[in-house]
Amino acid sequence: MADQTYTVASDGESAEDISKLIPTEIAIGMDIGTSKCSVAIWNGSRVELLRNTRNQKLIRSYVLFKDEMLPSGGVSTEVPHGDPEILSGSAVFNMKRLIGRIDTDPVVHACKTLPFMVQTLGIGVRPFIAALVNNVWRSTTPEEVLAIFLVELKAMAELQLKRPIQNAVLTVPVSFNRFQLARIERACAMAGINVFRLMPEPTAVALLYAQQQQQSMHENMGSGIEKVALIFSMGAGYCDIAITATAGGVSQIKALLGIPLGGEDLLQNILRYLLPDFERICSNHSLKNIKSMALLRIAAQNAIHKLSSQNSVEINVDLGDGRKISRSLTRAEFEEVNDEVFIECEKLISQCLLDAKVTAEDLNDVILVGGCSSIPKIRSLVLGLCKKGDSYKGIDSLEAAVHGAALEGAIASGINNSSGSLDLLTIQATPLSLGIRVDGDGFAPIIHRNTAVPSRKEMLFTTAHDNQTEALIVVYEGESKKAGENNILGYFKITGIPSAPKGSAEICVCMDIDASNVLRVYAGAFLLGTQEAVSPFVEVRMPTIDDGHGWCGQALVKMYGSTMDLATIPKKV
Amino acid sequence: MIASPNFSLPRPHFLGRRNAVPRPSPPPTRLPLRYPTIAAASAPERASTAHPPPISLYDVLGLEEKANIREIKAAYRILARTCHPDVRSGASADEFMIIHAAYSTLSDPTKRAEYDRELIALRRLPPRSYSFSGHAPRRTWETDQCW
Repeated sequence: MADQTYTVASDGESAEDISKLIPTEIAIGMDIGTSKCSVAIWNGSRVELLRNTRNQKLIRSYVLFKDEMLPSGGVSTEVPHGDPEILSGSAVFNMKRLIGRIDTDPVVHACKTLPFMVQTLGIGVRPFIAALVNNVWRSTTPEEVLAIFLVELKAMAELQLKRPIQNAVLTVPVSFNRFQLARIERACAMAGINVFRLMPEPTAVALLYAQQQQQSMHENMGSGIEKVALIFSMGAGYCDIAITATAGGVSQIKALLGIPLGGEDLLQNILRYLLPDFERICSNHSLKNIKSMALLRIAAQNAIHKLSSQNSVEINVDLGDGRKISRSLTRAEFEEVNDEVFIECEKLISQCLLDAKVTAEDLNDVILVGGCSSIPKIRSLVLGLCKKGDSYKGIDSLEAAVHGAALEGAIASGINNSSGSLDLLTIQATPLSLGIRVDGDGFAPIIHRNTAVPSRKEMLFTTAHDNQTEALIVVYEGESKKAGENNILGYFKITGIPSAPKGSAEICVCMDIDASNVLRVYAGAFLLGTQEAVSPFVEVRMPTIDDGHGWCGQALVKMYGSTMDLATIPKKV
Repeated sequence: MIASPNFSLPRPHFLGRRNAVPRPSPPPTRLPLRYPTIAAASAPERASTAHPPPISLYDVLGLEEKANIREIKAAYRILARTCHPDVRSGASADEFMIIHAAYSTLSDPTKRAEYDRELIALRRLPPRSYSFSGHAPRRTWETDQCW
């Protein structure tokens, strides 16, 4: 009795028994977008997108808090919640821009213009987020909001598939650090979803592309020629790029790059342009201001959508507080106001090409996906830099990512398809460098970004002081040469380093990323002049840091100064 | 299961390292924990069981040394499709990492040229050295490194 109650796996075990009779449970694919979400599954012969009760495949992501009932994401409500309700302060949305971020993050600060409350103190802790319920700000967290939404998506899928859903492959932004990934996993756990894989969005598209290439190869009896594609994915919250080399169903990710930049930034720039006072008005969360800003937001959003197909749009909005905005907005104005966003996109593409060591001429295809891919300026800048007349056809720009996630879900579930359409493999790459703090605030990358995963790398370090017997291994993730500017993942101490003059002891740090993208760090000291470990190595699974992680790096420096520092071993030439 | 770190790895001896100062023991290839078991056991064992001869990166990919870049890429993909842990559930990642290391050297023209030179240097050793573990070829290579 007691055993059963406390066995975590008991649920899974009973499901396994059934699965001997029915086909293996196939993991679903989920694309959790900043503005819209979708769910898909491999149905035995192809990927099928699931629909909600309103017959939608792309479901707006938000959670509405109401007093008399449970918070609801509106996935399965018969009547959809309207914009005025979602923008009334009672709903939390854009959670993908908030999850796992601290209150010093500029992306969090940009979220302060949203109708719900985002409060920051700028001290490196999680921001305070609250929804308006009965005229009271009720606190919540991005993970909680995401979990509530995932529960509804899961219920929707279970209803349609008529079986319980446990496993899922989710797409995530390229720029997400391991701390953010851990938060996504936690939200999934809260929703009762077992994460099979978290796939960077453009790599999910790459998998779909690999499948299409393989199929057309079969049809044309091709000789397995390698095709190189650039995937540009820009949604409401993130701009991500992957360069993939595909042949024979194997998609090798050559470079990955992403930043938190998307349609939400375009929208905010336009809001600021239409109403220069906009940020100040938003900072005062009075009911009147929330309402008028909601009206402006709706009008600006519609205008931006229309500007994708027309050159000019009329904006007529009565903000209800005596202010009226009545004007036209041209596409040229839109492009000028958002010039910086477009420059960032261009930089990202150039850098990604450089990282992948390919030129525009090497690219066989350019794939544009995500909500922003319909913006003419985005299309022209991507195609221009890639020297292509047109983008790749045959991929739905809004459904590609979830499609790829569902393919990965089927592959990861061990499904074989007689037609060979699941004989696919993505060789993933690490989007961010992983290393440790050395030489003061320096950052020594051990696994460099764009390294193929799984991967294992080791490096030797030495002591910074004479007779130093302890060393701190502080693990960071990022590209800055200063550790403090990167994202801290965790830390631990190596003890028992043999007493010796500085620079002569040897400390080995090994990083290992397994096929499930789990990072483990091993470290230990060697006996002087030998290859023998002083004591058993320490193995730590990262990230280990939780709340208040913005403080940890500084706290360690404050407490220990440089006494437990490590130094790089000078390269012998 | 977990090996102590006092192993010297045969793995990178064909990857080659440039250490101007010859050291009595191999430079930082003393990987802790699970690494030694891979290189010491799984890779060479795949090639032969009894007396594993030192295998080259070409052997890892099952290629001839004159293989062109297309053949290298094709061989890598074929092996990845059988050895990648995503394909063979429960498989260790080590085999794939060895294959990938071979591929990343051979697919880069500069690295490949460098490696080819090292390989020639290695081959000039008296056959006796082969019966030693990683140390001997490495040390000889270091004295030979004017190549």
